[in-house]
Parts: sequence; structure tokens; C-alpha cells
Amino acid sequence: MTAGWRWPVWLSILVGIGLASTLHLAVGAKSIPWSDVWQALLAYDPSNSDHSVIRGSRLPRLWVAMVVGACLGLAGTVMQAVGDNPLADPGILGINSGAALFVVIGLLVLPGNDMSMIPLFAFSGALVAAIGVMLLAGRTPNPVRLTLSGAMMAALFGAITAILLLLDQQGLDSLRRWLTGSLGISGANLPAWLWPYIVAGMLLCLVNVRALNAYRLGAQVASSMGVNLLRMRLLSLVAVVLLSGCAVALAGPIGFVGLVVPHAARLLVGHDLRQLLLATPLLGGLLLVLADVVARTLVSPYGVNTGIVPALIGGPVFVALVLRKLK
Amino acid sequence: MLKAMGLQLQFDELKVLDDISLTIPEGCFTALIGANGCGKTTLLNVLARMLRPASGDVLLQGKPHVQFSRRDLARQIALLPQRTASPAGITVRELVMQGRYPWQSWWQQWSDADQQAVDRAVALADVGMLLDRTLTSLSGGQLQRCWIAMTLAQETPVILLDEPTTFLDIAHQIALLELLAELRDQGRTVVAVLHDLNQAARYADQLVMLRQGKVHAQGTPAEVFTPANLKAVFDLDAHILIDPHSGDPLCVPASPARLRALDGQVAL
Repeated sequence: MTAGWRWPVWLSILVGIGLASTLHLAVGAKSIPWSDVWQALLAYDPSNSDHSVIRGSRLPRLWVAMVVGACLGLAGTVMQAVGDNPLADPGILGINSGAALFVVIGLLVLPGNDMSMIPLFAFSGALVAAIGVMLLAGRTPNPVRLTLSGAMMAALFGAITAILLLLDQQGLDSLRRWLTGSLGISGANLPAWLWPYIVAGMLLCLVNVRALNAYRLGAQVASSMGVNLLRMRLLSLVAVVLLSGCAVALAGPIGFVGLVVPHAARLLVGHDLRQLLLATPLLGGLLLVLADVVARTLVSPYGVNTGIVPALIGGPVFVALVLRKLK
Repeated sequence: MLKAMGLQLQFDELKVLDDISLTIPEGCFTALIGANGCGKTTLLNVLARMLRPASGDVLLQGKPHVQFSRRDLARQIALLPQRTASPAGITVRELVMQGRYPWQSWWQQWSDADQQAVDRAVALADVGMLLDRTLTSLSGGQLQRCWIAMTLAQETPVILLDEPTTFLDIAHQIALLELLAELRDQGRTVVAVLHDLNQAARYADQLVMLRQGKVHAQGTPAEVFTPANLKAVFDLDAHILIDPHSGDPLCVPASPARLRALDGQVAL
């Protein structure tokens, strides 16, 4: 369909990602000149300590930031589309808290688990939370009830997590950074076996894109045009669980990215899901890379947790976008 | 040809469709009429397979329509619901193009046939000058025409419309009914729930009167449009006149109070 591709917008997004990534690699506890950053990428010299910092610790962290941002952006977009709810987001609807709770239970309560089990706990927690929210939200689509159910789920899971951690001070210390969303926790490495889940989640979004586009016209119209609503919702559920689960497993529960990125993307590229599903992973990655830059420079040299920043910078940006649109 | 056989459907205790059997002839304009809550919308949704009846069957070209795949059915029957959303950020062009959904697939995106179907639909519904407007910027009448264009772009032999004239002023109502008659003349089967009895009698080839989930009367307007039927279906006292220009029956509601006052004085 000829909804029109706004090439300047896409070009700016890509340029933005390039600049943000370079910045991400250059700043940190030790600032590295941009020229050295490029050299480390293009002509790696193992004997140069700056190069090994970039290759060994900052580049993996950059990848994690991009992947986590992309997963959250996509998950938020799919949730907003399928829930027909502009407030849907893995954070607000409790998916992230569910995943986090199950990770905490898995690591602290059940014996004999190590960090490598985190993704499985995260998936099951995300699934339980998603199904719980859907059951609470009821059969008839009702955006307000859905949002309230999600908020309640998030609060409930958050409370249980807090209780568990209070009972286990040692566990709290080891998990605190992860629980506020930290890109450093996974050892700044992207486990290779997480990729299949991420790719599967993204492919499911892609398979669903025509149905989601038709669904914008309402459930009844979509259904009369041959959209299998049940299949669309199931695929979306699995995609959201995989994507949010991966994001939580990698970096802990990071909120707000899934909420703000789809809205920003709609303002930039329009409402066509085919463009949105391409733009939101890019914008999500961009947002989280920038957030991580801020997180690592804000109170240098200590660094705050990345998960705190999206809310800090995303909130005002979000309000600005909304206000501009209301005018 | 669309045929309903012994349709039954209940919502909780309420029998919404109570043994409905009817034939919708091919290439005809059929109007469903009846009082509020008599099951018109439900019947339309069952005919479109949006609702499954508890028992009974709908036959499309002699084949039970549960045997059609979703896509094949969507290539045969289009449904325009009574209430449609006006999602933000969608232009009229995108809306009409969505009508091609059942003809497209992942590997076969926009084709020349799709474009021609959209062009035809846009011309028929006369929405050419609205194509770049967003849905939220349109008036009710314009919006309805755009949704009709989307339904037409689906290029189905059967078109079902639920109260398509609601929210339109009288001129737009007539324009829409003329459009439906034109579609009928092109050989399409049109089924519409209509509220205005005189419009139904004038434009439809067949009237189906529903009363409490049953077919009360079915036939040509001249056969069905009788004071007795109107009394039974709508609890309405009315006279039937003949339009001197077109020869169509016209219903003129009578005021019971005045009827009583005039009783015995004037021979009606």
C-alpha cells in the first residue's frame, strides 16, 4: 500500500542511531576520542587498551542496549495495536513485573538455579502475567479495564517481589541492580542462545502485520474481511511474551520504552503497522542507547541504572509530543 | 444465492433468532425491516458468519458457509457493520485499500487488480476528492460513503449492510440507496437493514419483516407492505398509499388519538 515512506525521517533515525552508538562507545568512566572509537571498530589493535575497552566491554553493552530497546519497542507496539489501547506497554500491563517476579522466585526461592535460567523464568513470568491480565480484563474489549487490570497485576507482582527480597537481604543485594533495569547485569554479553527467541518474537510480529493493520478498523470489520482474530491475538501474545521476556532476562524490568516508542514512531512515520513494526525496534534501540549514555555519564563515575533513565528523559519528551499533538 | 435454514440463536435466555428460514435471491436488493431488537442485526451477522447459530445453517451457492475458509468467505460476502470506528491517523485511501485484504497475501502484495478495484470503488462511492483526508476529519455522511467504498473494494458478489443510512441526511440517504440499487443492477446481491419503511419499500426488491426473532412476512413490497403486517410488526396504525409518481406503496402512520376522534365522522 502506498501510505508513503517518509525517507528523510527514516534517514534521520538511522543517522541518529549511528551517532548515538558512536557516542555510547566513546563516553564512560574513561572518555575515548571518536577517532579511536572508529579505529577500534575498523582496525582493531588488541594491544591498545582503549580498543580492548571498546571491543571487550562497551560494544557488547551497546548491543544489549539496542536489542533490549528493540524488543521493548516492538512489544509495546504490538500490545497497543492488539489491545487497541494507547496505554499498553509491557511495564504498565504488568508483563515485565511478572517476568521479574518469576526470575526472583527462580533464583532466590527455588534451589540450584543460576543466572543462565533467567530467560526461562522470565518467559514463564511474562506469560503468567499476560494471561492473568487478560482474564482480569474480561471478554469484552474495554481499554480502561485492561489498563487497570495491568496496573493491578504490576503492583501485585511488584509487592510480592519486594516481600521476597526483604526476606532475603543477600538476594536483594545481588539482584537490586537488575531489578531497576541494568544493562550491565548480563555480564554485558548477549547470550547466543537468546537470539532464537528474539528472532522468533520479531518474526511473529511480522507474520501478524497484515492482520494488525486490518484490526485498526475494529474487530468486526477485520473479522468480516477474513482476519482470524484468535490467531492474531495468540501470535501477538506469544510475540509479546518472547520479546518482553528476553528484554527482562537481559536487563531487568525496564519500563516506559514500550509505551513511549510506539507513540513517537506514530508521530514520525504514521499509523501503518508495516512501517511501525520497522520503526519501533529502531527507535527503541536508539532510546535505550541514549538512556545508557546518560546513565553512565550522569553521575560519573558511578553510573545509575539504565532503567531509571527512560522514565527520566522519556517522560518529558512524551508529554511534549502529546502537547504538540493536542494543539 | 444466500439461504438461511432453521436458524436458532439465543443470548442467555432470550431467543434472538427463532427458527428463521429465508432465501435471498441472487442479484436482488433485500431489505430487512422490523422493530428495534427483533433480531435484524443478529441475522445479518449470522449471514456473514460473524456469529455462529446454535442450530441451522446458512448456504452460500448451495454450500454450507461453515465450509468456506475465512478468506474465501470474505471474497464472497462483505459486511458493513452499523457502528464503525474512525481510528486516528488513517486516510480514506488507506481505508479503501484495506478492503482488498482478502485478496492479498504476504507474498502477493498490492497488484494491478487491487488498484483497479479500489479505483472502481472510489468512483462508485464518489469519494475521489476525499482520498487524502483522515477519517477523523470527515462528516458523518462522508465517512459513511468512505466505509461503503471500502466494502465495495472487497468486490464481493454479496454485500450486507447494517443500517447504512443512519446518521445521513435525507439527500445522502437517497444517494446511498441509489448506489445500492445501482450495485444490484450490476448483478450484486444486496442485503440491508433499513429503518425507513418507505425507502425500503421503494428500493428493495424483497422485504423481510422480522418480529421477535421470526420471519413475520417475506415478499415483494406490494405483498408485504400491508396495514395488518405493519400493525403486527411495529404495533403501528398506518395507511398504505400508492405513490402517484412511482407506483410504490407508501406508509403513512396514523395518530391513534386523532383516529379515535375522527372515528365515525370520516370514512377512511
